[in-house]
Amino acid sequence: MNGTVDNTLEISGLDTSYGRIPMLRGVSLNVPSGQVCCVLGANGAGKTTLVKAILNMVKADRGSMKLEGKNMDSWPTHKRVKSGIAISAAAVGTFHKMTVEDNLKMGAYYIDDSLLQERLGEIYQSFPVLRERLRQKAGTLSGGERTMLAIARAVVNKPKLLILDEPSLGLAPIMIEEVFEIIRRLRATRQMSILLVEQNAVKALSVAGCGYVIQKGAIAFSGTADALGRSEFVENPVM
Amino acid sequence: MEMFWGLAVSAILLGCTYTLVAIGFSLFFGVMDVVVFCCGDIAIFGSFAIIGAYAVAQSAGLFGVFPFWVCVILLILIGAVFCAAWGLITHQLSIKPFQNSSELMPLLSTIAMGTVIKEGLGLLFKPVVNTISAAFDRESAVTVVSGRNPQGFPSLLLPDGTVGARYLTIIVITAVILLLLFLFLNKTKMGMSMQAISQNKELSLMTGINVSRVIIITFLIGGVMLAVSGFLVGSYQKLMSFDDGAMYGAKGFSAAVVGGLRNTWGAVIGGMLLAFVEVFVSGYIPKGTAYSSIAAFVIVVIFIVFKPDGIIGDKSVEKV
Ligand SMILES: Nc1ncnc2c1ncn2[C@@H]1O[C@H](COP(=O)(O)OP(=O)(O)OP(=O)(O)O)[C@@H](O)[C@H]1O
Ligand SMILES: [Mg+2]
Repeated sequence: MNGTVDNTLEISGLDTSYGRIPMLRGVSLNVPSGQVCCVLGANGAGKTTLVKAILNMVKADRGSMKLEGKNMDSWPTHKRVKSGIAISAAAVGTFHKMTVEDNLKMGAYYIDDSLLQERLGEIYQSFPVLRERLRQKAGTLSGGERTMLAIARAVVNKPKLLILDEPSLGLAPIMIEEVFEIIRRLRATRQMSILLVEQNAVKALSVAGCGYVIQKGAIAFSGTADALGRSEFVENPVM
Repeated sequence: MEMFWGLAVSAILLGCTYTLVAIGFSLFFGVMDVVVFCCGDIAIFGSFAIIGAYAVAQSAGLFGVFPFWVCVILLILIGAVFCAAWGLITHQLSIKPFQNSSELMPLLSTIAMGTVIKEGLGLLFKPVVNTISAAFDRESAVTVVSGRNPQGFPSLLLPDGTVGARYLTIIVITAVILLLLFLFLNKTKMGMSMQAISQNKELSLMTGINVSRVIIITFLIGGVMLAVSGFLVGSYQKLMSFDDGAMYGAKGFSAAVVGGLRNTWGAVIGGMLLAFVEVFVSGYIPKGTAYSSIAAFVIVVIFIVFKPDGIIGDKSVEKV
């Protein structure tokens, strides 16, 4: 993981806090372009905090972040999204009173009207579950369908960096399989870099090229996915 | 039967004015999750802006220069600009600074803002001094000078038309405003963004909506709605008092609660329901006028107890 320009995302020395309580401490992390990197960590380790800090929804106290080599520290959230970072987090929910179609359109906030139909068409190809439910209110979707919607809403942007926060959360094994199949397909296109936040280490490592472990707000491991798979963090289930 | 129809018309008119204020409450609540308690005062501020602008226009001889209807539209626009500006000031001074503190703070600060508007109007608009009563009674002289008397609202709406035509116009204006609002909320990106923020603020940020900009625009649009409602109230009541905003805001808020706070259509139904109860209680119950407002608030309490989500309800609330 070297070279500045080859990294889609570069974070160095990131600190955040909630009120006066420090959360992330000196987090440095790179996502090389076209790769899938996973971030593993126990409940409350600070994974979602990291994701939100990348979008400036949680303010950084220190440290700096670059998107494709450009410093983005001063960019507000909407500018970061516009510049090519998309987050899918099923736990955040949907626009529950809007239809599935409107949810996707809101997700594609910065996509030109002329491009929108084409992009939506592509999404319906990859997410047939959603195509059947376009007119349904998002609040009435099942958990699995909602996860699909959350992923589709981010992918429709064809972002430079796709961040998936626990896409397997609360899903049955067969759905988890489907989600990871989608991640594999996205990886194969090599169009976007993916930061995959997961608790399911085995699944995450099966698609990732590089891996990080967060413990109590600090990076405890960084390296290739293979090395991570062989390390104590995955061998020993108590992380 | 004639009485019934007469009352029904009054109720619809009153309902129109409540509805627009209620929508102000629900728009603001939607994007900010706070009850902006000075909506009624902002609307009355709009009425007084129009009264003031009318006086200025008259002394400048504007009515001789332009056709009457052009002047009326100008006056309403001036009211709209003032209210939009005041909506923005309310947001910047009494809501935004308290975003991260307790939810009670913006309640208090918007009530305080309402008082500022109210008392400001009271001081600013000195009524035609009734010299006779002032000469006889020192106390009333003091009251008069500090502006406690009602102001006449200029006849801007069909001054030569019949009362019926004027009433019809009030209803039509309200309907047109509601239609425009509906189109705006559902057919434009900005309107959809407002709905998105109202439904899920965190997700709105994640999808890249410029939330703070949308909030500011909501306050501007809400201010314009309140100005129109101030214009309609003035045209309907003919006489405006600087502190009308308190009761008016309480009614608008109640209508919004009955309708389910976040729900624009609920606000319309809530406003109408409240107005009908009020008008019919004062019409059919002997000495009912004294109790009409109480009856309206009883309805609100009943709704809070039995249907806290409002008339339309929100059945698809998400289980996260
Ligand atoms: N807004 C907040 N205010 C205060 N503390 C917070 C806030 N958000 C998160 N925290 C705390 O920060 C810690 C890290 O939370 P975070 O959501 O980043 O964990 P996580 O690694 O994503 O966990 P999980 O796997 O359970 O999703 C938790 O202890 C949480 O309680
Ligand atoms: Mg999390």
